[in-house]
Amino acid sequence: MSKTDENMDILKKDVFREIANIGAGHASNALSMLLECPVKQNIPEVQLVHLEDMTELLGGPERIVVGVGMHISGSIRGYLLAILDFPQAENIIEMVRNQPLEKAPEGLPFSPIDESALKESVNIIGGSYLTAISQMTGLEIIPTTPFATMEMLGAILNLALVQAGQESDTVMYFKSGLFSSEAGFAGDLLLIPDQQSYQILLQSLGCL
Amino acid sequence: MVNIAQMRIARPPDQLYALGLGSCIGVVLYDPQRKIAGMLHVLLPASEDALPAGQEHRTKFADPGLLDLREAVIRNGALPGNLRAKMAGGAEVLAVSNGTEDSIGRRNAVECLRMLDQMKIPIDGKDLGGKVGRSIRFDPENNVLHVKKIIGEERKL
Amino acid sequence: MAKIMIVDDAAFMRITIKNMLQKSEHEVIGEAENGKVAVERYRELKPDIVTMDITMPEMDGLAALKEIRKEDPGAKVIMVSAMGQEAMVRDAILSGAKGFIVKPFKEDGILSAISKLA
Repeated sequence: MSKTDENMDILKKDVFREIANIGAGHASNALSMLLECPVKQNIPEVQLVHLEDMTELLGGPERIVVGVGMHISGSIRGYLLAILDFPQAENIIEMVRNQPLEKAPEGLPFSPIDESALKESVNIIGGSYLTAISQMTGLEIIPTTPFATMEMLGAILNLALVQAGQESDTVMYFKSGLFSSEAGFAGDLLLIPDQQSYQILLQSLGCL
Repeated sequence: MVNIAQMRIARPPDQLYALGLGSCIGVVLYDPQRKIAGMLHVLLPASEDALPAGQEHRTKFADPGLLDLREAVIRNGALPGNLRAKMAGGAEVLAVSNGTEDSIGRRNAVECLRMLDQMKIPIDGKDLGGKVGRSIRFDPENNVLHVKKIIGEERKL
Repeated sequence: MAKIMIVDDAAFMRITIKNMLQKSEHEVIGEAENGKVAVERYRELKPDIVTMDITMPEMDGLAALKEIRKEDPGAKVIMVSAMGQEAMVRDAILSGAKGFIVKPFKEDGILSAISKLA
């Protein structure tokens, strides 16, 4: 495991965990409204790791997942990603659309409307997460329209790692798991801000 | 296993792997006669693309990482004149709208090709670009680069 | 009975809102998938009320709101967005939006907002 983890100030880690907690709290509320059943979140994980270790910690670079996310800019920059196993993505789509999945076109995981339902769900969940952080910190956060793909985890995380790699050899991420036993759903929400954003987040909460 | 920004050398029966390549590129330099190979997992084109704090780790970049790779295979017994290259990766996997992303996969490819040209190392096989991630495996025994994607058949270069 | 135009880049959200409205007395006369198309369609169709997403490619909802209000100061636009940040809400209202609904919303939420304006 990465040694840089120990270097991160315990206090700062707590602040970040709280940010992730609040974000995920709102996200799980939004998701439970969408799915019409209770959704819980687990204790957020805030990790600072070497670039080459990140994919391993999330299940390995070849893990096939559905990645839905957005690039964020404004006062802080980075990525917000939902990482789901394919059956979980199917689950959300079915519950949100209230009907079974349509047949997907050749070579694609979902039909256009099903994919739109998935992206919109993550748009809403992500929007709640980011709005909560924005209210908490007073910072302006602007997401893009979400992108979605089913791919190897390494390929999906690439852009976030490129962003991190331009600034240092480490990457920090906030991970929250959202799950619902009633819905049989579990997935991870990852926030990967760039380096400057960490300072900005801490500053906004008066921690620097 | 060659993770992001790592570099590894191998001789038969060991093989070199780079998994989940999106915009990253796995570059292999090998000496087919002496059966020595090295792989570099490139994240960014050149160290100027990084802020000063991010420039130390040379093997993140095609430039200067590929220079280090060449040096490493030679140090391990390869003859400079024998060196050949194979590579794969550089895809645009996520269609990020309003993106400031400047097609990093393509820029990585351009830089890798430029470096190999500069080092006068001939390229025996490449699978670059597209929109799909790749996992690659190089076998120094027969110098074949296996390229696997999420759908479709495995390709051999 | 109002004529409504739905603007959202997600096909799924357009369908969802349309389904909600079809059960009401209001009529959906058009849709747009981004702000630029929204401004053009507004000119063509002259809806009574517009529901407008914010995060969209090409031109976002806030920019489209301003454009539409410039050409038609009486335009009635309700923002419907996943982002409910204070600054965004304030900006939208100051730019003339007649309402701001944060996703996820319940059916009666959007129906009552529309009825108030119709």
